[in-house]
Amino acid sequence: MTRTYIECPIVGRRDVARDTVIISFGVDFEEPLVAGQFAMVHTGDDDGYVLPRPYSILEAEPGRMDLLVKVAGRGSRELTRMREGDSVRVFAPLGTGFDHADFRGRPTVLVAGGVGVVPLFRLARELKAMGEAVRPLFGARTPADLPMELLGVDPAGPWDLWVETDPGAEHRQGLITVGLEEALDAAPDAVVATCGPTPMMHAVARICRDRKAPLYVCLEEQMGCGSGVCRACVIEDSAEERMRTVCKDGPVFSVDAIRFLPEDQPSAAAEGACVR
Amino acid sequence: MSVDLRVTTGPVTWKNPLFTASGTWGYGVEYFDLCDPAQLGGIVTKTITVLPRPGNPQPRVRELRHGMLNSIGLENVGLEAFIGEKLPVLREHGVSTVVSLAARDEDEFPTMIEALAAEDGWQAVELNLSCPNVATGGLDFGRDPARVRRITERALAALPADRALWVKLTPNVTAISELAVAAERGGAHAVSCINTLVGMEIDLRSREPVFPRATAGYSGPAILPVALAKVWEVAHAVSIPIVGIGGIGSLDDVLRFFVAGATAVQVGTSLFARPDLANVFEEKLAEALTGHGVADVRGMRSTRLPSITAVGSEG
Repeated sequence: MTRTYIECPIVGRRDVARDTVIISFGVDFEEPLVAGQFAMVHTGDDDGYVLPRPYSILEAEPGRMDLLVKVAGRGSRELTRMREGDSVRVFAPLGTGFDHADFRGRPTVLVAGGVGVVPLFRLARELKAMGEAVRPLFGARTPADLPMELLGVDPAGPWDLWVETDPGAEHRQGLITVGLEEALDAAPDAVVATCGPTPMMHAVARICRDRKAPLYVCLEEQMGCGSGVCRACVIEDSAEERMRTVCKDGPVFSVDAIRFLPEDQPSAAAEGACVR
Repeated sequence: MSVDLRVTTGPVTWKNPLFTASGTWGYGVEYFDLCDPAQLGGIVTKTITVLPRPGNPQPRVRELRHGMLNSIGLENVGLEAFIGEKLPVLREHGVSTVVSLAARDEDEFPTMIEALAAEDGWQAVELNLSCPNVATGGLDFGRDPARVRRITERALAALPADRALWVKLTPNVTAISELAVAAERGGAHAVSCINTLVGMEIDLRSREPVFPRATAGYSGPAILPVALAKVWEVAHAVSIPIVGIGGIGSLDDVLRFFVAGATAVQVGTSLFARPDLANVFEEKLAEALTGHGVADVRGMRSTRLPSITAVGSEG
């Protein structure tokens, strides 16, 4: 994997949902992007924050990378306030994304929550292009959180839209996990990929475990470096007494490879009580 | 004026005074695609222990304004894997390497150094004494001057004569200079100042500390003035070189450490955002020293500090 590490300009931005912006950066990658890979973006430390932030990459074309940024904290707020021409430091593409071989020859159900749609949006299109059957589901809390500008025109759609709080004509009201159960009823041999809020992914993992459906999770975790160095974003390996990094070994994992569910974590791995 | 960037700690002369700090640049092999670690004075590895350690449970890191807290728990591959897998790569790339070591008891330090002694590809060890000592109920080795001196003496006895011994000091004590003097009397070739400050973050929703262990190590730009003051204090107390660490984010910060009494520096937390930052400093350091009209790092030293040979005493 060839990583690009560069100070580059913001070349475009457009609002697509509440507090959600697509920001385009003037950057070139040397190799094709894999769905699930991410970028570390650092807006500079003038505002007093020293760490870069990870964002899943929505699109990469020659000379341009698009990120879908939802305001979730200080780093994302700062980034969404930046304007065309402002420059940021980008380190990308990073991480191990989805492997198409895991989805070949069987139907795929995608379960996306919020900005977790980004890696799955890309995966949906790649699988459709390969001729695979894809059933994409998107869940949001309110109708204002639906990035319709993205989902409405998506060639990999139509997306089944689920909104927790409100009834509506274009979406169903309720939890996206209901949609997953229905999709697995219709295609019991499906493989599932999910990305979104942790409670949603835990619920998806429990359903897939009950139904013996293979599941790939794209994880989000606090990161310091994006390169496996700082060891902030670790998750326990399911078999060995060692840690996997979300940033380098992941963010995409087979759920069987890691101790993903709280009930799978028998012990805190710690010994002693050291800082650093 | 020609500038000499070389600095010396004990038997080892380094090509320049810029190092990466332990825990912030992995094993020195992770960023070969971005920059050349052989360009630096050296890299300080992630702290190695005798056996591999999985480290602490989540959460491990929280960013705060001007700094970050970490509670990684010394996750590392263990000495055997370090020697077998990491060290050969560093050696092959000509990287000057300081191996950071932590131990569960005093015996493990000389044991690890003896295992390393058979290997090429490293020039110094840095003793990380901030890990709680299991045998004494969790008290840091590094807070007791008598223990610091004893550990330093035993490490030195195990160390090959052509390698340097650095002792990394914790700032979480009343008088860091007492620890520095203890390390100097134990035979250390340099002291590294400072390790992280003990800090804490509170989650107001749960009304509990964020970290399972309640406290964590605070680093980043916020600690720069603290680190400078500690280096300044230590520079009045010892005559061995001081390696300044803490909050470096710019080349001016590097120069400030030299003024405060440091002979070399380690760049740490800022490397997470800018993995090549120490290299960037290396490219500009000679020009910066020239700009200040000095011929080497020592020329930056404050005139209010005792001259480097006048301080310290044989104990």
